[in-house]
Amino acid sequence: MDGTWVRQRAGEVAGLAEEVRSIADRVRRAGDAEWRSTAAAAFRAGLEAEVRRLLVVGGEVDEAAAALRAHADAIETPGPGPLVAGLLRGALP
Amino acid sequence: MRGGVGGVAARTEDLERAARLLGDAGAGLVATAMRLLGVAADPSLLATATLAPVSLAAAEARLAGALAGSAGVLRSAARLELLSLRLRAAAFGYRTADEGAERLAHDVDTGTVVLGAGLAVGLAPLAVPAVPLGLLAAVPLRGPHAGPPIGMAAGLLAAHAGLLEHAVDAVPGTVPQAATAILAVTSGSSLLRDNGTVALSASAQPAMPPTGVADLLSGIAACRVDAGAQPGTIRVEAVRDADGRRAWVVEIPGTQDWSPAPGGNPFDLTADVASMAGRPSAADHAVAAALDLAGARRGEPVLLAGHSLGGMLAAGLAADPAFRARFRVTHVVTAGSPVAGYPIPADVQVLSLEHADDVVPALDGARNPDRAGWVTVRQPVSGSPIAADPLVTHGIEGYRATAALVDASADPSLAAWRAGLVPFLRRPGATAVDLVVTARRAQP
Repeated sequence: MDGTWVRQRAGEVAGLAEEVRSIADRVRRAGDAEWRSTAAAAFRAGLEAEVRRLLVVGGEVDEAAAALRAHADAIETPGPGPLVAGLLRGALP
Repeated sequence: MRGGVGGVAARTEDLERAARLLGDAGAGLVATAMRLLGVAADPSLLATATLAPVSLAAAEARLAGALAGSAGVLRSAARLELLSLRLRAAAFGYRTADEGAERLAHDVDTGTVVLGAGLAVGLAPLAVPAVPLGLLAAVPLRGPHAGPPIGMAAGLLAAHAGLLEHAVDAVPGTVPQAATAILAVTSGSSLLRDNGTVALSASAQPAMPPTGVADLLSGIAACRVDAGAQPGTIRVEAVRDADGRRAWVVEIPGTQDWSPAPGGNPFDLTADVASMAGRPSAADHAVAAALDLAGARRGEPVLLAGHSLGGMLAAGLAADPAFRARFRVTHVVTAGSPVAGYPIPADVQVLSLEHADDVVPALDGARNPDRAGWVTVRQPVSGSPIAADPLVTHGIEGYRATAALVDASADPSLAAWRAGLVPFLRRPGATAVDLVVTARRAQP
């Protein structure tokens, strides 16, 4: 277990952020439905707000990926006891 | 569906496709959330806490926020599902309204109008409000003008009565506005026209005062045609205490005739639409005339109790300053009636029974006012909402059972409400006379 493994998890999470943005694109297309009325306008406004929220969600997932990358860096940075850290690293699955 | 004065156009196929898209997007987000959870809860990742606990804690906090925080994946998934449901409800409403319009056109052609609520369907902007009106027609259909129930529509929305409120909320205009517009559109015809004139016949008989809310509903049930009453029957009960003081109970049935062509029975679709639009009808006049006929005097307390349309009429009369100037309405009991929008004064004590799986009380798309003098009892009648049958969930028998629970309840709000009913109820020395009144709408 080392920083590389954690970075792989971070990459996986970054991929999920891309998925969220892709879903936001699909959600935006729901507004293309042929529907014109006051209710339709309200619905589209709600939809646009949801798309913006999804982009924020994607950003949150990006932040999680970045935090995992930082964690990977922290694992690889020698701490106060490199020997102990090395032993622990070897003991982890 | 397209057209209409408000510039409404909708392709139901598009709406349904968009609803599916949103539903799929919500499901996709849930899958994303599960994979995020898989990373966050990975034992190997958690074990790295021994190497860098602070950075792991920071990463876990970020993962948790992305997963379930206020800007998290799960909340977005839930909102998408709600948007999808609303869109499905709107599409369902437009489609049902279209079908109703076709059916009405056919029925008019063949001279047997059976689904009066379909009248609203010509008004595209009002299409979805028309669906609730159509559902009114789908519930207790019996009698010479009985129309075919919209089985699937009623069944689906009965199973999702809460969804109906969202659906009504999501569409343009309110149900009262829709009802007003329906009256405007039909103004050139005789349909839904109400001249407000009634003729009464009555018979009196000694009776026992009611013992509680369940007895009030029994009295309403006795006004129904299938209970042997004449069409257009209401009951006025004079309860006199040992000191000779009188109180009045009026029991008003639900809709008995679903034809949009007003006939002799004032408790009909015309009264439904008029009440929703806040306009007086022959049914309102029948109640006032019955109280006059019985000899009710100004200042004597009056309790108005009604089921379905009867509850709407009771609420409408209690909210009508002209009626209150003649009669002192102190109490209103409604069962299965959409009454949230009636401006009943705060000094009138209201008890509303609403089955959570009954679509009819949800037609106004709003919850009843939450105030000291207005108690709403809302509970499911059926064991399984999926199996909800509108005839059961809206039927007066189910409401009578619920009323019996109210009578027996120790809930402080209900106990306080019942305490105010004393002048109308059976007690030592109290006697009662029932006036069974049959109202007929005068034909032009």
